Amino acid sequence: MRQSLLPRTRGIPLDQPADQSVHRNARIAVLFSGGLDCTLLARLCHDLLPLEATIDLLNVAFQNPRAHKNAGDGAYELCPDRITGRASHAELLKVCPGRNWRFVAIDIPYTEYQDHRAQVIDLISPHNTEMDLSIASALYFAARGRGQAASLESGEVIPYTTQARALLSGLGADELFAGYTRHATAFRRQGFKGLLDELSLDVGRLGKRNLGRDDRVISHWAREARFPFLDEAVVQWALNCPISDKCDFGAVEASIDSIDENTCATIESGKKVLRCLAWRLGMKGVAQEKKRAVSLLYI
Amino acid sequence: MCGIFCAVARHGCHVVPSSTVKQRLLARGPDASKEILFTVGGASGNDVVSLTLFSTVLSLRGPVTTEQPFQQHGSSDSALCWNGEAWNIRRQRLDENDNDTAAVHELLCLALCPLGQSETRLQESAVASACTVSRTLAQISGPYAFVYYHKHTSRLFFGRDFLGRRSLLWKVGQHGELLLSSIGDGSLDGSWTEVEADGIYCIDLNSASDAAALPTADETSAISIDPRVFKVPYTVSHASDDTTSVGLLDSAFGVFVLISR
Repeated sequence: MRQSLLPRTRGIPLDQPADQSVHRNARIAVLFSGGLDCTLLARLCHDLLPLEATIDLLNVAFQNPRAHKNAGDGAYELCPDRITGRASHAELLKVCPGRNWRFVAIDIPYTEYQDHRAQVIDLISPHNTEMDLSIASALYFAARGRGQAASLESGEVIPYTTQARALLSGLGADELFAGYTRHATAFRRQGFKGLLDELSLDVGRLGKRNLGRDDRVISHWAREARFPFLDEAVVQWALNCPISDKCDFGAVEASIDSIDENTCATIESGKKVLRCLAWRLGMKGVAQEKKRAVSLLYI
Repeated sequence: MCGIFCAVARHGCHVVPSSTVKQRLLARGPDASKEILFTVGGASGNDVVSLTLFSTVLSLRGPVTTEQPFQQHGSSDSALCWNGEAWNIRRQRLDENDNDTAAVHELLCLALCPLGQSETRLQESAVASACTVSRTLAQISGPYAFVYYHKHTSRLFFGRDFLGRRSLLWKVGQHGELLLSSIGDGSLDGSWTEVEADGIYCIDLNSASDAAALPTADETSAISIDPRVFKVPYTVSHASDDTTSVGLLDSAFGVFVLISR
């Protein structure tokens, strides 16, 4: 993963070089739901980038007029991705001190979503389902990179737009390492055979289902998405790796030494190998994070 | 991320992107943009083909922006529209300040016209050339969608990396022209579809015949959108020591086969 991240995080030019302090402008941002995959990328970047380099964490929350009727501006903080995003940001601050992790809270009122809806539909075309639209909308506003962030000087929360031209995405981890609920279902119904069938189907259709569509919405903001989990060497490793080493559906105990036998029982089976990696890198909270049934969908 | 557009017209006029497409391509790549026009054929009763290549660039490597469509300095023998990142070529990491577009262009040019052997290679069939392009791109690790025009042989190649990490759409325009673009006109124009990320596509602009009539049609397949286009699928036969791409084969059986070693 480090070999995958190295070329994807280095040598990126800045839009406005050398204004005040160069290091305050992030060259790289992470599409940051706070989930395991993107948090792991952020954590790995910490080991690769100079400590003075700011890393922006782009976190989107949509207003849901039905669910949040009486919550006012606090409604965004109730969104599932905002809650996990804040929690994982806090863990990064604790585990990786000394770096400016800039949490960019991208709050999208329902009216703003409606204003851009037609444009998003146009950009994702020929993709055209409700599912495509809701996932792409989150990526569209995340890639725009316009939200609120704490000022470095005063700590005061001010409007902020990321300058990063390269955005890291955790896409592919669920498909390669069995992170979806239906993977657990496939295992329950048909064992490893069912799980393998489901995974190979998923990897084979990534381009058709997600990647072209995501490219079209993200690039619209003159930024580039980068997928460290879809590096050729990572994909090859993951496909060569025995399924029982990637996830531990059906296993009684974890076999990795670094994991305390008492607590690992709380680590989920899907993407076990990534959870173990997060654990080993000191990110115990995110390693234990529970899989959510639905993500990004509050529209 | 860059934006690429290509039009192949047989009605005597060069076709340019619609204003919507052009505006969206410029949004993707605000740092540079360029259009290159080629006119091909006309001899021995073949159609005159008007080829338009248009690219926009988002500069992501080093301090200098490299214009696209990329052509070697002082030469108009070929042109490359590259929406991609070649992180490694033949397992060697590109220096972060080196331009990958220029490196990929050179790699393709040398593969199709090796020094000293240009005569023999130029007589290669279109299918053989497409296989050469496929083998060459398999040496790259990184995402891409591309359009490459090789002027000596009047052949146009295009495709997406085996995972489909970059967008490429196509459609047949109002007057029968073949259009390729990173982005389409929108949801009201339903005729744009995604180019599948399953092989290298090729069209021989000097050939009047349909690709279905190619002698080696069993290794390739003609494409329904335009019968002159054929595809060399990504397969295991492209394996070599330098190959870094991973092929997805036999997915009907849920089996993945690696083409790299």
